[in-house]
Amino acid sequence: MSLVMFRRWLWDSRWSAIGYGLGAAAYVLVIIAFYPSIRDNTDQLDQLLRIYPEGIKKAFGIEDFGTLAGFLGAEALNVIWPLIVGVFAIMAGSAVVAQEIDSGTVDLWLSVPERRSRLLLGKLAALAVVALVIVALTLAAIWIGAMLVGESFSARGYLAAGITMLVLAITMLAYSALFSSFMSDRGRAAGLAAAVTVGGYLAWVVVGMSDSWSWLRYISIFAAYKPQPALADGVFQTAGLVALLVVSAVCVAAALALFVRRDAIS
Amino acid sequence: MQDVPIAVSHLTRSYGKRRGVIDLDFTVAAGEIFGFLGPNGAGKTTTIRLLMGTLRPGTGSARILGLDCWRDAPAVKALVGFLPGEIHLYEKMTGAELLDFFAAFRDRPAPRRDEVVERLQIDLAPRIRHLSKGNRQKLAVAQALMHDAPVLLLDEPSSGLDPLMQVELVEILQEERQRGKTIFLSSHILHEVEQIAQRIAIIREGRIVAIEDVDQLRATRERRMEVLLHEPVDVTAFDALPGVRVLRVHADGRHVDLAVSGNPRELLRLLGTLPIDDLIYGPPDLESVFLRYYDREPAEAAEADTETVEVRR
Repeated sequence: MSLVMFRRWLWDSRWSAIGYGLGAAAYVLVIIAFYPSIRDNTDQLDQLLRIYPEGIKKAFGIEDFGTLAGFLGAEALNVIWPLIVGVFAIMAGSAVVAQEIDSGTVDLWLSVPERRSRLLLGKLAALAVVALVIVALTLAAIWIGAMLVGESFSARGYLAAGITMLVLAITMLAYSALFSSFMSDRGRAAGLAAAVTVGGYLAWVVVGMSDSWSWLRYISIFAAYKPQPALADGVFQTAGLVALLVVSAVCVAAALALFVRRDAIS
Repeated sequence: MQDVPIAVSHLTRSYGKRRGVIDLDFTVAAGEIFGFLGPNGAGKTTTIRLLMGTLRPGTGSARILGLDCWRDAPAVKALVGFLPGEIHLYEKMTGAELLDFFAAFRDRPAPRRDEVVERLQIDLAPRIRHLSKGNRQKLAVAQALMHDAPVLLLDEPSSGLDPLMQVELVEILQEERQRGKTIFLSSHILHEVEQIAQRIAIIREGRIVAIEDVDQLRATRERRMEVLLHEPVDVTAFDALPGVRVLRVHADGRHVDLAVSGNPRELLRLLGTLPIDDLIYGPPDLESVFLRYYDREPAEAAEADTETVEVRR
């Protein structure tokens, strides 16, 4: 990995890290602020939930409003957080190669005495650090919010939730970067990555609605994304998370292999 | 062969519909400024991209100081100062940040940065997105020169520079040559390359049509002269002069286009006897050089409007 490229890309991504990270954290805090009034009216809400269609509950990750983890999952972590981080991962991942070509800077970028693979790895490592910052700010917001409403989660819960969230972000970054590595138009790479993300999400929703479609969980990156039990009970979806890491590694390896061989011209 | 700064051997690469280069074969010696001259789209940038290892060669090879430009690309780039043809820089960076970034990849970070920046009078403080085209070009030129690399690959270096800076650039490049640098320089402007190069390769439609010493080229290439006369004259007197060809006589007979090669002394003597209203003596242009290698008129003449009468020899 090129350290020069890593430092440069981290510096260039600093506003992304701060913007997305503080955005996610602020959202989490606002949601937690609503929790006390929900907690005091659990019975009525449970009645309301009973008449919700299963599909809607599944689509938004609504399981129970009675606990902070359940409420936070339904209102923030299950859907909104992946949405926020997905936008970051798709925009940043799709930029790594295709944007240099798109904007014509590729000739200069590749004029430095460094292997292409090391340049790309430098950028990807910087983006992984940005993802880590976003996750850390989110967890910090949960910790502060939980304290303010008189609730708490275990250290293992934070660890499990953090790893779950980070692995999802890294996976989205990895396939966005893969599309960027062989395309010359950043918009197209981002479009393809967005299609894969939305497709994966829809597949996950369908899995929840019908047993006959349960095989779809194998193609959805969201199948292993369960921040709610992770936060509440420290539960790791080990097999799923390992599968996502393997997918990420394959995407990165393919991106490197394609990028070092391609004609890098605009 | 290990020491040849640039050695290109039977290099062919095609891509897209009409882009690419075919069977390029040339070497550039140490301490030489080698002009690579051709119209837009002829394959100049493709050649430089092959030398920089951003494009993979089809067949043949390109080597810089003995290293293969594709397989050993990182090592090659450590020996090269590079100026791209189309200047696209990182808009959010300041000039100083840009130079810092490109210096940081080298073992000896930018030993001549201050000198070059001062010489080109570059303000490094503003963000690049606020710079004019000329200032971007100067910054990119400084980036190429600051590494003190033994080989310089410069794609249209004077493009976008104001005339004073162009003169300064020519001086800088001549000094670089005296310091032992090997310079590969592309351009589509003949007289610009003529000023500075020792040898010139002429590329057209992806093929090198000639490689000549500049002195030889200068002696044989033609310049365009337009003569505006007060009344029609007999143009055969021009044709009779050595090194003068009549290209066109406009319909009213008072506007004569000539192609002039070699010393114009005889021609000036003849002009002194004619009722001249005005005279334009243009710089040598690339099309006129191509005429020597192709048995056809330049595109410009072929598209001449209907009110002119073409005179062919």
